[in-house]
Amino acid sequence: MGNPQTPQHRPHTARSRPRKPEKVEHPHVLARRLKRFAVVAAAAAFGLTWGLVSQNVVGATNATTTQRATIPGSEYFGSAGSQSIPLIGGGVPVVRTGAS
Amino acid sequence: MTLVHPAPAGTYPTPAGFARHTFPTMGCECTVILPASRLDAALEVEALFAEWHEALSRFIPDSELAQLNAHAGTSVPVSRLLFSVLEEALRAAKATGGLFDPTMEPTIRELGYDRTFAELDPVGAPVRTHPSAGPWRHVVLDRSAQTVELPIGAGIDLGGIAKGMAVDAAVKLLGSRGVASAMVEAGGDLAVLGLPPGQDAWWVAVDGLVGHQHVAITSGGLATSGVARRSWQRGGQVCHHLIDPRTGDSARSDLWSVTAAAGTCAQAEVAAKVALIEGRDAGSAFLNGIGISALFVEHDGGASTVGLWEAA
Repeated sequence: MGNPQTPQHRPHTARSRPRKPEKVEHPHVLARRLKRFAVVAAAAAFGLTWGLVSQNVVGATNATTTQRATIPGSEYFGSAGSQSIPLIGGGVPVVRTGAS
Repeated sequence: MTLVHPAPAGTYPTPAGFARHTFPTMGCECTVILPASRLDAALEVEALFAEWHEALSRFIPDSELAQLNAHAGTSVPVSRLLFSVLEEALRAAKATGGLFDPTMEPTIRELGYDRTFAELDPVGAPVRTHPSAGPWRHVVLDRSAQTVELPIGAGIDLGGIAKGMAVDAAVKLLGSRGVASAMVEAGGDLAVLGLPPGQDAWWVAVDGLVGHQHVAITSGGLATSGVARRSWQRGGQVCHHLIDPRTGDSARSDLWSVTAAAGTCAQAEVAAKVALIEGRDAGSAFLNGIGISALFVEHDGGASTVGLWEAA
């Protein structure tokens, strides 16, 4: 244990200011940073591409469409209760029908 | 309420002042019932069916559909008719989670239905089945260029929906020609226009395992899907034309037939087919979910109804 010394105040000048030591990256750290950058860049590129693809292909209704999405049954069959109610049990048939 | 009626000894009566015109089309017989004075319009309906059949049959080598199937993997310009039918079929696939799948042509061909039913070998070697990968999701429709691109290996079998849509188009055609009251029936798919004279509904006799069920509609369409016809054998196993995409095999549900009533004949056709594939319980849930009434006939001949029905 040494004696505590009161630091002497010296006005800093350009000449006298101690130079910050140059940062030297360890190769492993550099590699890790590069890898992180690559992952972020790839994710951004994927997001941009997917956005364009989904806008042009999946979401479009008037242009080219593939059939990724499902739609509610009611959108195709009409809303529940909108059909007329069929009858059963009587009447004089005008035609015979059945699976062909 | 369901009642079983025996088949009449002769033909079914035609409403007074009406006539019927019958012709073969799309692998079945089509009947048009309309005022006797408008048989000219019935001939237009026959021409409409001929046009649809020539364009949409997978068994006519130079039909538009056969040509499209032969060029999977490339963008093919198609007629407005084929484009609109494909659009409707793919909407139906989307609305049913792919249980209605218009891209089952390779599967049904592998199962042995590779030529018209009349030419089909009724018995053959066993076939291996596999679930469908749902290629309908990857069909590319370009509305502005009116082109269709099927994924490689995929093929279209429009089956009943083309017939259902043709029936709807025929009824629309009759309406546009000033016919106020008519019925068009083609192999289990029918649609109506107006009402027959002096009647409150169009009554039809639906085939059951035993006798018939009499049901009626006042508007829209009615369609029946069932396993009674178009069946054959491969490796001792009975196959039929209603394929379950989840197995790639003929549907093995507990239903013998489903008759559905809907706003259009095409919708009824899709609903009936999906309900038949799903079977009694899941089929009922599906139909209740979309508000469609249907008549179920099971393999023991028992009949039951789903949804709202009015007793006559």
